[in-house]
Amino acid sequence: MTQAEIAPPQATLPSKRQVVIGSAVAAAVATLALVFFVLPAELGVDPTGFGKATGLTGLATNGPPANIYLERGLKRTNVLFPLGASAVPDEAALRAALAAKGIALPAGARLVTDHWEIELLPYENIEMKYRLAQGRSMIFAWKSSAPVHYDMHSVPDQGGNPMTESFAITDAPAQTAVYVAPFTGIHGWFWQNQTLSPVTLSIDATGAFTSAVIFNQAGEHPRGLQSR
Amino acid sequence: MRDIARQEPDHRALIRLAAWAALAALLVVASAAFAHDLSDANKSYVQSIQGPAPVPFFYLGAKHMVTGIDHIAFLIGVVFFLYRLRDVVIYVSMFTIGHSTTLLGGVLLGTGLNSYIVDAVIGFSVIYKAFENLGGLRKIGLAIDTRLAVLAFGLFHGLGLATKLQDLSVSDNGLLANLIAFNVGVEAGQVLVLAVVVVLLNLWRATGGFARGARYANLALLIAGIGLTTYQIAGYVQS
Repeated sequence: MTQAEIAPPQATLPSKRQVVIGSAVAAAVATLALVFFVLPAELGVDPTGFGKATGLTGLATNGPPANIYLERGLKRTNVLFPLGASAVPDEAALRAALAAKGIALPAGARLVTDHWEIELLPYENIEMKYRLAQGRSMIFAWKSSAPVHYDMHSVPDQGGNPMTESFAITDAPAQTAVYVAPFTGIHGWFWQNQTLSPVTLSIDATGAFTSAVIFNQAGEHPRGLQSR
Repeated sequence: MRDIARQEPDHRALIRLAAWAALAALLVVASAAFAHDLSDANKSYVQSIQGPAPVPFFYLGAKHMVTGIDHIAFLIGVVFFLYRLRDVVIYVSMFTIGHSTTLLGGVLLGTGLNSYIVDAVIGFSVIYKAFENLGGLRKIGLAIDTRLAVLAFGLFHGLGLATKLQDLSVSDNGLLANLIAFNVGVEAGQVLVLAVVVVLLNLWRATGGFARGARYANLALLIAGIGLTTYQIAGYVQS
């Protein structure tokens, strides 16, 4: 009923000419919108330079890192040296890697080994950090039974949490690297199991660390080093 | 000769093709709505903008309208039985006045509602319009001036936009210029969507199946509105 009352008295189909012109106008508008707006803003493809001039291409780029800790950590170039997964985290490998980078192992640094394992329940997270003095180094290899989310970061004694620096934030099933402490403090990982099944995580490390600490839901707990 | 009714123009296939192409384009764009909401736009970039940046904000406004399936559904409902350009302009102006008021006012005054509630009201606006198009309001004896209803829902749509913009915590530097650019972008996006919708509806109106199809189309809108509303209410309950 409603339709009948307000329906147009005589609806007619457009003529062929109108259809052709209308389609051409629509295609032109769509093309202009695509070239000047959508491509620069969505894909960063900017054939005309319009997107760059107006700041539109900024919408397509990832922008500055939102994480100021990572931003700070990534400015350092002589902290984290990733190694292949086959590297063994022992003293020889640490010395070889440091020598290759031209970094001296400070005299008097006592190298110790450590092994630790933890099972993470679904969506459980944990932090484990080693105490290292400035310039002291370690070699480590951790692996998990499924990829975990991790944030490798360090908290300086001077400045504390606000001065935290992150060196790697990603998802991975393993990480092997040499680490040289940029400052005195605690240095380690935040790990999170982002799956619905338990994940086993184990780490082996050799280095000049003096102690270790765990942060979990219940708070901060010292952890005894366990040599292999 | 009883062939008069069957005297179809020979370019009918062409029209049908153009109509389907336009509809397909609209659906592709609308389906991106779920992947790209405004709040998913590059937050850190928008937050890093200091000072007036009209073009990116214009783009975000237009994108929000073109990819917002709830806004599109409401617009389809509003113009469903409007075939004269004058009526389309009147109704759309009411909507524009409404949402511009709350968008600018909401952000500048820092007021916003829970975005689930606003989105639920926006979903309800789709239910309302589809129900009215089906003749339901008249049947239950309610006579609401549609222009006022469109204005009221426009106010809510604007409040939703204001809430989403504030979630982005846009810088105060150049805020007014960026807000106006965003609002103009919303209009541009609305005009783009309306151009496609009105042309398609007019093509459909000229065919015999419109009267019958209109019922089903508005039933579909009603279902979409119910879906959008319950989805937002569920989100609110969970939040």
